[in-house]
Amino acid sequence: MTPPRSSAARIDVRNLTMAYGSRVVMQEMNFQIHRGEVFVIMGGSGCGKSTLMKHLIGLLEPAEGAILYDNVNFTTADEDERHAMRRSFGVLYQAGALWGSMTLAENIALPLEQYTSLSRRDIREVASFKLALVGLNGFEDFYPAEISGGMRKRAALARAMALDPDILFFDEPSAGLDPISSARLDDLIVQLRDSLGATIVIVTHELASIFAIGDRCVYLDVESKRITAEGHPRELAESSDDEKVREFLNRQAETPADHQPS
Amino acid sequence: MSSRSASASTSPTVVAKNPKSGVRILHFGGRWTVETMPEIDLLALIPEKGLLRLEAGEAEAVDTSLAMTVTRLMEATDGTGVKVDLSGLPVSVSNLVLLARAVPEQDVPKPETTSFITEAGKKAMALWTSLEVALSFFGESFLALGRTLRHPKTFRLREFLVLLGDCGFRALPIVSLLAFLTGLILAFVGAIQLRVFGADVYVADLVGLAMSREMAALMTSMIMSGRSGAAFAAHLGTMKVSEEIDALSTFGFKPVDMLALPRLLALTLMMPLLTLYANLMGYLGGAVIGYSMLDISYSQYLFETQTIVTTRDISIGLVKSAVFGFIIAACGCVQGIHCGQDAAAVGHATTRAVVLSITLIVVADAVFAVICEVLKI
Ligand SMILES: Nc1ncnc2c1ncn2[C@@H]1O[C@H](COP(=O)(O)OP(=O)(O)OP(=O)(O)O)[C@@H](O)[C@H]1O
Ligand SMILES: [Mg+2]
Repeated sequence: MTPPRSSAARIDVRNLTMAYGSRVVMQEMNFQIHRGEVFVIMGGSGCGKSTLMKHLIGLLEPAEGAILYDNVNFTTADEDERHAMRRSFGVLYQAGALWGSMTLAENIALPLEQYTSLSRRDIREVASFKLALVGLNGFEDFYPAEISGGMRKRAALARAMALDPDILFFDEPSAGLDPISSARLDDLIVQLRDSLGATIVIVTHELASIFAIGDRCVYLDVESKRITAEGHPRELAESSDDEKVREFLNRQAETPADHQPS
Repeated sequence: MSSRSASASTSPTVVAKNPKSGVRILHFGGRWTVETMPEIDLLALIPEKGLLRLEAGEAEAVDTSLAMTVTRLMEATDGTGVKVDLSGLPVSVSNLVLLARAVPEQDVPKPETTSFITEAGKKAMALWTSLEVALSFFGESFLALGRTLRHPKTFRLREFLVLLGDCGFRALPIVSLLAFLTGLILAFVGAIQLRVFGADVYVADLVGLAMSREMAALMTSMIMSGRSGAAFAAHLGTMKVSEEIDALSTFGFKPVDMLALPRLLALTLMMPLLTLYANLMGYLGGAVIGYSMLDISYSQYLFETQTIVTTRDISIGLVKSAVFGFIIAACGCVQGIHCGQDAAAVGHATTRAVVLSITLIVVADAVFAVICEVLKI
């Protein structure tokens, strides 16, 4: 008796509490991510954004609560069911995490070899195309150690898109990129959403990106260890009840100048 | 109150004054740099309550050490009811102080202080978990073999061939040297004893049997655990630290299938070959001693070895070596995959892999000795 797919949330996070051992990182999180949405997770450094992403993709287990994909419980699913569900994920890690013993083309080819019946030549072509999408044509036969940090990030993005996934998770995709590449990346993300109907979950601090492409966002607050705001970024920037969220989105910080010694 | 420290004009000084009751002024003078931080117990200068005014001339604030000292003072006064007035400090210093204190306090987990008993309990539990991990890895690797046999397409042949080379012919030079020397040493020790009885020619028997049944497999596995076992642990550990293993599992790949299985197969296959080769090198070492010390000709030595060493002896050595190869690869892979999150953890994983595999090899060898004895082979 599942409700019609279109109305169901693609990802449904219910009462999620995250902890490392006995140290709680975030608690009682509730939010939903809809199909075809660009969903932004934001918050100060160290508040648990990467941790949340690792929970969403099942690398860490919730201390409490559950994560559902299309109303199927991912948290209680067994290993094989999870593998099946993960087939539709594409993940970009904060540090890239390219496989160091393979060239860029091989990095992208590996998932294709395992999951498709494409010929070797076709796989090579797909890999080149994905690299071209992130502006790395010509670097097919370079090893990750031979390219710059920003290029590694882009190559990792190309790998995340290898299987044309249905949900893309990006951990700070534009960190380490120049303004032009990062604007290009924003375009690419919107294109992916529009052409593939992919759902996109991004962890980012880039205000420009948040406003340019974010459909909805949540703000993780370090002090209360809760989600303190949820909604459209521009609306939150103007009229959030939470002062910290407004400050974050309007790029303000309490500077020493605000309280000069009298 | 008076000056606490005023040796040279360049060394930092703190002068405390009490102009009126309830007000204390601390004047910082001299050069404040990290190298010349004064050893004054500033906290003793904090009043019980009232106003604490801090002052310093513009020229004295040389680097962040003054700001650091002031920050420490302010932290000590937090919650005591003492009001700190920074207006007498240069703006550059007071701004740094405010910046340092503007960062919101996060609940940094306190390092747990535990008693000996808790520590011992934790260690015991950790031992138990590592046993569980090892057993589940053992089972998982057989499942992986089954899965790969059913879907041979998922096996990465090219990487496997590279691994075969790493565990195989690239180890030949070091195996040659050590096996040759082992044969040499065995023959030398044996020669001294056997010569007393005039039983010189039995040196070939001694070397032949010892190498075939024991020493070739043992020496080769020691070399390979230092070579390949350590390399596996370090490689997989680094992959773990850089999230490459996580990336594999989010693509739906099982790390055991992708990483451990090829290594297990490669080393289990190559170890018997290396051991066979080590046997030959060992006989050669023995023959060199026989020829040079005991005047046994090479053909005589070879003939003696052939009569005493049977296929069964050699097979026992080869079976052992395959088991040792599996142990080495398994220890390396388990430690690598379950490595911690930083560079130091990779080092620990490597050490543990080598120590564990050598220990298990010696234990397994003892088990083999018992089995051979019981089966009379
Ligand atoms: N493996 C771990 N073990 C224990 N604590 C951890 C671990 N990884 C992260 N933490 C803690 O969890 C908190 C959240 O970390 P996380 O990496 O999710 O932050 P983040 O929001 O992604 O920060 P950033 O924006 O800097 O990447 C941090 O306070 C960190 O100390
Ligand atoms: Mg992060």
